Amino acid sequence: MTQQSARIMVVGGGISGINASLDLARAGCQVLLVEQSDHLGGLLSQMDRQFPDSGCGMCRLLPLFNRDQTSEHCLRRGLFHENIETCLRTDLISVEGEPGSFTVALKQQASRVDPALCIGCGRCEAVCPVDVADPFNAGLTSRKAIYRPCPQSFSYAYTIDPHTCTDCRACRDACPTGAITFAAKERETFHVLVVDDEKIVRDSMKEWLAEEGYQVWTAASAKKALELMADTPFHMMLTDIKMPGMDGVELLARAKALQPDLDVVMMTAYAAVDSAVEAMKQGALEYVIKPFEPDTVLAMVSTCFAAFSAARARVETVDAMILARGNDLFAPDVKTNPYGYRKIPGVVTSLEFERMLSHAGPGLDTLVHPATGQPVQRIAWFQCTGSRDLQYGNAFCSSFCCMASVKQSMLAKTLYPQVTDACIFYMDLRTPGKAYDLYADQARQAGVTFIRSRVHSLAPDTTDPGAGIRVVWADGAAKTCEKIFDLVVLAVGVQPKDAGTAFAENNGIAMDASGFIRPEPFYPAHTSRPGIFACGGLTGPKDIHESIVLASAAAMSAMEAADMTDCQMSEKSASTKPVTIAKEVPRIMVAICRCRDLVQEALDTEAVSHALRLDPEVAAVEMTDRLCREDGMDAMIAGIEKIGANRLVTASCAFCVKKQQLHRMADLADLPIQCVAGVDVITSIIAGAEKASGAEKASGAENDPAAEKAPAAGQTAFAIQPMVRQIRTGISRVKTISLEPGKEGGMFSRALVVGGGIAGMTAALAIAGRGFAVDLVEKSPALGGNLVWLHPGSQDLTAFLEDRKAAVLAHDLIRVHTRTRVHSTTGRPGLWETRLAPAGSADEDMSSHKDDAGTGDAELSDSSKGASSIHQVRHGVVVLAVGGAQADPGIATCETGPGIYTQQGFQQALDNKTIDTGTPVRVAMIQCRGSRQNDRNYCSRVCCPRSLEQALFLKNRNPDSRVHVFYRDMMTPGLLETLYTQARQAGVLFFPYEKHNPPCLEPDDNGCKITWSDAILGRSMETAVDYVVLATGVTPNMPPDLAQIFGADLDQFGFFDQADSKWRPVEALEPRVLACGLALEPANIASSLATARAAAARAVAILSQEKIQPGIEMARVRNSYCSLCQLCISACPYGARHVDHQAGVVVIDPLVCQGCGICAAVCPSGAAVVDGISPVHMLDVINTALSGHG
Amino acid sequence: MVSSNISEKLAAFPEISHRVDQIKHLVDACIQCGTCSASCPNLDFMDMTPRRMWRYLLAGRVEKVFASHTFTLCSSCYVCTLRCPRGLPLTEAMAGLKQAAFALKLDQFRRSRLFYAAFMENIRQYGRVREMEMMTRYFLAVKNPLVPLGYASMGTRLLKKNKLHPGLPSRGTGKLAHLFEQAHRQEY
Repeated sequence: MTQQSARIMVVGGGISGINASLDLARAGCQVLLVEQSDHLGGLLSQMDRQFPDSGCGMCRLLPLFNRDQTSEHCLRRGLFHENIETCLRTDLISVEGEPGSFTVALKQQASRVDPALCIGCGRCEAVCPVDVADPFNAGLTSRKAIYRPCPQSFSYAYTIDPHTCTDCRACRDACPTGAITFAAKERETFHVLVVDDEKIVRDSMKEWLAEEGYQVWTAASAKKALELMADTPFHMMLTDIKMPGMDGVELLARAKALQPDLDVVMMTAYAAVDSAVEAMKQGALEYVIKPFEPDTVLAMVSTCFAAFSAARARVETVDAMILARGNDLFAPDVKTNPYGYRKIPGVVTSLEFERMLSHAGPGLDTLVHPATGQPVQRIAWFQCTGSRDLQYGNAFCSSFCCMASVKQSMLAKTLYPQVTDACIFYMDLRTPGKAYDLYADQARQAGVTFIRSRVHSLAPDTTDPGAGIRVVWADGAAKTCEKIFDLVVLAVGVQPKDAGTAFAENNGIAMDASGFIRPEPFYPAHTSRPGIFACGGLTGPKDIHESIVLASAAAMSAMEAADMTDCQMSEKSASTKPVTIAKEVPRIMVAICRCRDLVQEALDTEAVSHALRLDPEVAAVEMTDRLCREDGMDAMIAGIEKIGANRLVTASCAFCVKKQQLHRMADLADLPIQCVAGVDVITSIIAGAEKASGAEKASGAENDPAAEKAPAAGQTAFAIQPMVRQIRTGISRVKTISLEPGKEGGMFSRALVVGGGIAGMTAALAIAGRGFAVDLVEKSPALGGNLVWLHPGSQDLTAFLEDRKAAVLAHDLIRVHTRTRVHSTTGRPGLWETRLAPAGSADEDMSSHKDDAGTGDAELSDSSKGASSIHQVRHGVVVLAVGGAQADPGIATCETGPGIYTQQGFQQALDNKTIDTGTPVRVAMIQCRGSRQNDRNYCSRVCCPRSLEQALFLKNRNPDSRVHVFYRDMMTPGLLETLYTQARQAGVLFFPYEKHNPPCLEPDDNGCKITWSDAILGRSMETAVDYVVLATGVTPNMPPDLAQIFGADLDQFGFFDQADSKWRPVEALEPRVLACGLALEPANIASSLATARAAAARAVAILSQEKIQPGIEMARVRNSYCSLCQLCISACPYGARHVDHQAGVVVIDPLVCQGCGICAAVCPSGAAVVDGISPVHMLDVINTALSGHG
Repeated sequence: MVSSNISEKLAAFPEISHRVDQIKHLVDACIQCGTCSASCPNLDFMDMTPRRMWRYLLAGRVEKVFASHTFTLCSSCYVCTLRCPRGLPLTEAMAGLKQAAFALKLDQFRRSRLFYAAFMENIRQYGRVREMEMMTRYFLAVKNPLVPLGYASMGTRLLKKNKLHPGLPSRGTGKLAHLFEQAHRQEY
């Protein structure tokens, strides 16, 4: 029933890759997620806590609907989704083709540990003789060559690091399940034959090639060679031409007859080019003239090997691909290493510190000095280590380090009372986002000190590592200060990954000067190659928020490129078993996995089986083996069919209780998933065995080999009861089940987009492009929003705006309603019926900053005329893209004057040429005017870059113009930093000021006099300018009632309140209410476009569900018990419940409800229940688990 | 008073003021982070930190720069140049300021200027420094009998330790003269 859905490859399993994959998967695409390392999660797997709530919250990325397709556990522990295939340790070798059909070759590094067989007992780790620094703990601890990739991973499976493994194979012998195999390395499977009559040539060739890891045979004559070839397949032959008996050319012919695919290289002692050419005609690949350098031959062999290896690579066809490989952290010990990293004890990188803060890190719950082990009390953070540093060639700002250091300092200060000093040394504190400044203020309140200074270097004091590190810096005024710190944290920036850069180069993907992939203008996730998209750190330094948004945008773009218009979303077929199975008498089959006799050795399975069969509903207890494998599972299924069981309980290792494994079993047995339960018994057996062997050692009873059986028998008696109890818990889980079909949520598959700015238009086009009708509502007469006043300054922008407007107006599925506003809505989420009214007709305050947008052209008038007849639209999702406007400058009357402009006004004056910039002018730009303080305590992001652009424009027009920029922190994160450098180089003057001491304006007839106190000069300064430009920042245009009628909220600044600022950045708690652009958060054009596409991706994912499949576990209200006390409504963390006042009942939104059960816990009358986990059911499980503990 | 004198002199020597402009361009990209000040070993003897001096220079207050003696104390250790995150040639800019200040013949740098001149002349003549002769020439040029007195105690101590080697002045070999001329031509 499922048609072929789009197949998209995501390269890189960091947070960007995970989010892009999940977005694609929830929209129904098949995703191939390829990751080079041995675990997913990228950098974030090493970071436990994130801003703003100092927690993790990554799980909020998981889909809210069709929850049963995915595994709802911690995302840091693992990712499972039916539509995502994850390939770890896999390299992307090549990409060919075009959008719609890319052929990609993937090479997976063979794993020596079979993850299905590994039960995580750790015996291999105990015997491994290798000790290396653990990269997961940033080298602060050590690990063995066989290890678990990350401690929090859901999988117990170990893996072997091929680079450090010494091939001693002790682990293989120690493994109880035979999970470890030392398969030949790939080069060893490449067979090379060297034929030469000279022994010295044969031997040295063999030595060279064997050193490179190839399997080499030698033969002294052609005859010998042919004999060898009869038995062994070879991949490459290097042969001499002139040999006694049969010569090389003849050998070539005969060898090719035997093994036609053989690559042959001819070696000739003299320049017998003619015979070599003859050989080439007969099919030799190449020839070399003796004597030759080893490198010459090795290069040839390596070319042949690459072809051999590529031929064995996995080849896949995908419609589009997303690159999300991220970037590397800067290594501070390169070049001059002024801070003595790895030389001075106590100097650590921010990643190392992140691990020190982690409970799974080197210090566990304590924060101790890595060298002395003493508790750390005084910590300093050095910002911009390797960022904004032209000496290292890193002209960019790394974007995330300021916030990361603020977070770390706050965590250190709040979690560890021992920390007395936490100082951040910074140049500009970059807090360019909605809640970032608030967070920095919180840190200040928590006692973190911020010092605006750069520490030049640290001197090593090797005498006593405990004495601390002397930090010397220049304070603002004049003097040098110094202080002793125990720990110095270098806030390292990022650098493009070499591998990523090489990939882009080889595949014709455009990059910028720093080596990041350059996105196409106005298409933030598009690379220069159609069908290949990029997100995350690969496209420039990004923080988590930006990465998440861009990943969703990339997913949207990839869906567009894959063009799925003629394929339907795959929908999982429900089990064919009728619902009545729940009512049938349970016939339970218990399958116990022997796990290669591990279980039988540990306990008396007969006794277990007997104990279990005491329950009459247990129809059979089967011993099976290798449930993790196909054959094991097939045997078990056969057993089920034989006895006609309608419930299944497996007792096996952790691998088989994973959700995807249970799903496979349920599918094979044709049972609903509720009828299948898995119990992990192996883990407790291992724990019991360890305990027993510990006791054994203590009693010294292990010297007699004959006595070995005795403790085993004792152990059996010890272990049988807990095991039976565990399995019985599983049995009681499947006994009472509910298969009532959850209410499917209906939905209008149309979208309403409010706001016709560039964000709204982009979202509308993206949604309509996927085949869903869109109503686009704009209150002003014309589309374009802020771009209407912005575009005259840039030709590109003009062209882009015109193109988008034309596309919107021409699109069949988009109805444009200009001069219209949203009046009210009825219906419920997903089934909204929204009334539209002419804008300005009501008494509401619709303060418009787009009044100057022009009168609108003929087309627009037409469409709005057409729209005016429609008063009501139906839609299933709503995208609020109402935009924002320049904040009111709030100029006191004494500060008005002819030369005082707002930033927007000045831009318009420049574009309209009302200011003569050809002659030298004197301009002062005042940043953060009214912004980043009081009620607008957020950075507006757009003003610093705009001021820099205006300053550069003025300097280009006339270099003698004097431009003064008064700033608090120059907010040019990421690649925007180059703009700042350019402005400095162009001679623009920059004056930092403090929040409480802004420059003072005294306007007069000729312009304005500005006085300020300069922190560096330590004195008051003044200058006269012709023009003053006030950068006031942006405020959102969001009318509070607009969000509220759709059940969303506004934050304290009036922006759209996101469900989660990091992990669910474009949606409200009600996932069908989305927002993008300036209404969501302060954003420049590129990030507005990214949020618009991200919102569209979410909208498309919802709309493409024909009906919302609620999860198995979902809340329900038993109306007859309900007293409408509404305790459950305030308790619901997802906002899924509301009162339907007309019907007088509490209604649950099936899409929003996540089945957490809090409502059931707070309900005083037992009216709130959760389907799938009824109280009877749960109490039974608990009773069973506790029985015997009495 | 000093400032106005400097401004006058700058106005009188437009080519020097042009050179000062060029020096300013060397440090245009400065972000005033203070790395140079904190890393300077001679900071304690300066009347103005290097960071403040660059700030005055960038703000166009050249008279303030020349009113301080910060740049004359630069010992060309290059630490600031090495540490500057913007990669600015700060030592070069310091040297440029020294040359400009001497070329302006500002009164407050007269002794510094004469000392440098005596030193360089000594080098030009002999290819090395002959301390006694260098100091004698310096004292003659300063034309202030109090200056040699200030060095008297150090001179006596050095003599006692046999560190001073009086020798009769000669014309020297003058082999470096050509080099000096070449350098002079390149600089101006």
